[in-house]
Amino acid sequence: MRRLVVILQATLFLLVGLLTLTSPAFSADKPVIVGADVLTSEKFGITFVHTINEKYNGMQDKVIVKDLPMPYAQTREQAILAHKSGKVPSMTFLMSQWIPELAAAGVLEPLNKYFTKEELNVYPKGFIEDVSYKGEIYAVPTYTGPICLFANKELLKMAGYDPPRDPKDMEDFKEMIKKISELPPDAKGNRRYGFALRTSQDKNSAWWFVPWVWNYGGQLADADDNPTLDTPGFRKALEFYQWMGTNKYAPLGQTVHDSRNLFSQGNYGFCHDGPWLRGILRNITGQDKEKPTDPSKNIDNMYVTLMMPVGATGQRTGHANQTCQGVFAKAENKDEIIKYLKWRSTDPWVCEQRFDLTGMMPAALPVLSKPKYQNDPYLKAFANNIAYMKGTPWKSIYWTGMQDIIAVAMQEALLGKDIDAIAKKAQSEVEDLVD
Amino acid sequence: MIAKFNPRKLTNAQFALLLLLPALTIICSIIVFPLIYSFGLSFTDKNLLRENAKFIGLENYRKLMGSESYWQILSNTVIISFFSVLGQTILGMALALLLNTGIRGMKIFRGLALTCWAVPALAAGILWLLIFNAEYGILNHILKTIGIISEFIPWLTHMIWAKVAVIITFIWRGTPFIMVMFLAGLQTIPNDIIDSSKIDGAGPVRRFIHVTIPTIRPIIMIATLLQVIMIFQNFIIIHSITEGGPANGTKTLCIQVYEIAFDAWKIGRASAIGVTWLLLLLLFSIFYMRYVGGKEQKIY
Repeated sequence: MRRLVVILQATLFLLVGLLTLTSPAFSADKPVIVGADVLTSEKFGITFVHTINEKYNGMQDKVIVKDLPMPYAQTREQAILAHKSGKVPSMTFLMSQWIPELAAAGVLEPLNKYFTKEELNVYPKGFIEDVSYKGEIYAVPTYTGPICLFANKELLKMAGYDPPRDPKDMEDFKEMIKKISELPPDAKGNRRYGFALRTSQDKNSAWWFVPWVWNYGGQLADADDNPTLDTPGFRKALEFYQWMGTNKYAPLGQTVHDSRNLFSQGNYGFCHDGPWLRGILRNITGQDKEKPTDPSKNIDNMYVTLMMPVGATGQRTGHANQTCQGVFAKAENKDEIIKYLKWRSTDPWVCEQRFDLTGMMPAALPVLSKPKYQNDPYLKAFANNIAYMKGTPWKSIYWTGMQDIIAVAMQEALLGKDIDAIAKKAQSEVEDLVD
Repeated sequence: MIAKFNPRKLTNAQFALLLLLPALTIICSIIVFPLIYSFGLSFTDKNLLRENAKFIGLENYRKLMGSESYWQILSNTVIISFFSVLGQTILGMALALLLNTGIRGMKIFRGLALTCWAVPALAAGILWLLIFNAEYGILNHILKTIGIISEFIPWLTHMIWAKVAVIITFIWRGTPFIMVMFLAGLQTIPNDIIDSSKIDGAGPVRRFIHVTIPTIRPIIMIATLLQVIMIFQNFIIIHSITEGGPANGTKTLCIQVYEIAFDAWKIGRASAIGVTWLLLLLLFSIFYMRYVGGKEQKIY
């Protein structure tokens, strides 16, 4: 009996070992390149990615391109963990702000050697700077997302403004928010809010707080690249949020998704977002599949895109939201991956598909200069805003950690806590972060 | 010459050890080794983005002790765990007593109640996130419709209400587990004990205090202790409902460890938090079992 038990145990171990070692994971005929893609984890982007990948797989026979749906909020840490584990996809969606930490960890392949000077000249200089870290390019620009204000036309009219009317400066913008917030409730008794602000305690809300810091003349790092949160600009931005939070001009605790949903419902005066919001709003309302016969119910006609207000520096500011694709340092077939990414970034047909299906603007200048994009009234505010947009606010491996600190400071301001104490605490925490 | 291995020649103890060896190997590699490794990391400045780490002694612990946020988060963890388990225990006991009376439909109710516990944590978190949403959540609309509130309660955006919301979620989720444990305990109490206490003139309250509680005390101790540990460790529910907000008002040690490890990449610091958290739970468990649990009483 004992001998039998021992034999059974040994057999079981052998079986487990054999099964592990003979995993048929990589037995495809052609090499497969896999892209971790945020667009396929969101409904509004799936058709675009699948359409272009199908075309690419049909037009060449060296590789098969597949996508791996990757939620936006997990992309950064999944990239690092995949790299550390040694089993990586081929490429990944990236926000340019994540590049310093991914580059420092050795996750991304430096790409300088894969590009000629002419190929780089296709992109705006600022974009290339934004995807570079310590002299190396780490990602292929795919689309640019200058932000602008989306304003509800009906509410603007009810508040006495004639859309499209850009806010002149911050005081004027605050007045617009206030007037919309003070409008009487809708027929169902729901109140109006001036701004569908992102106010939840997360990195995305912190990221969308940054334009207001810039707008009030603040910077998140000094000339020596030390983090600076206790600055007049940062405090002013906190005060702006506090003014909205304590006066109930903006709902609290709203994530990016809440903010978009709320804006689509029609009781919110403004939200700030990138060009992709058109595609998202169509998707949220189901109008990506079926347009309403009544033009007044068409979501595209509900809002107007406006310029950001002129800030304390005399300029309109916002972030450029440079979105790009990085190649894993441990990936195989890098030449083929780069070839695909260049095609995805600069091919006019791909850019057209992306724009039509998602509203995203091409990064490549020769494509962006085509009449299709130049003459689209929706894109006008974005195109006008491009010149004022900024890249990564702090090129540091600790940028994500700083966002956690900003998110808490922002929420403390919304709840009415003392601005002076909030700024001092945030500064102390960010100094501890880099220590 | 190597002697031929013959299991028949092993003593019983040796054979038992041999059988336990695979399990022990797995336990050592996935529990003991990470625990020791993590303890070691807490004395270093290990950062996931850098190759090398250096020994920094107690610096991580010193910084934690001096951090205002750490104490706020520790206090959140204790408050949320305490009130959640208290609520679960009271409600779980009430339901267990009710079901123990043998009312009709007990089995169906027990099965239904268990679904709260069986629902995946993320689904439960999202469900309650939608319920508590101040603008379009069903809870505010119900409370307003029946006239309990005139203004919507900012469930997830007020420092105190957010804690209440998280505690309600934990109570909803953990009560069925406690209820089943208590019910199992109640069903082990011999009827003759109950009958003799009735003959002695004990009413329902006295019977509950002097017979029921002492009899099932070991079960109460274990069930509540397990729930405290589970809530201390729960990341998904809090993260999906509030992400630790507003202004860190519901952030617990678990979320802080995650942020420090995967946002700031400070594995050394995150390990130090993990060690303080482990010590805290260990001390609590010892105190709880020894001084609150007391010695097992024999009432019959």
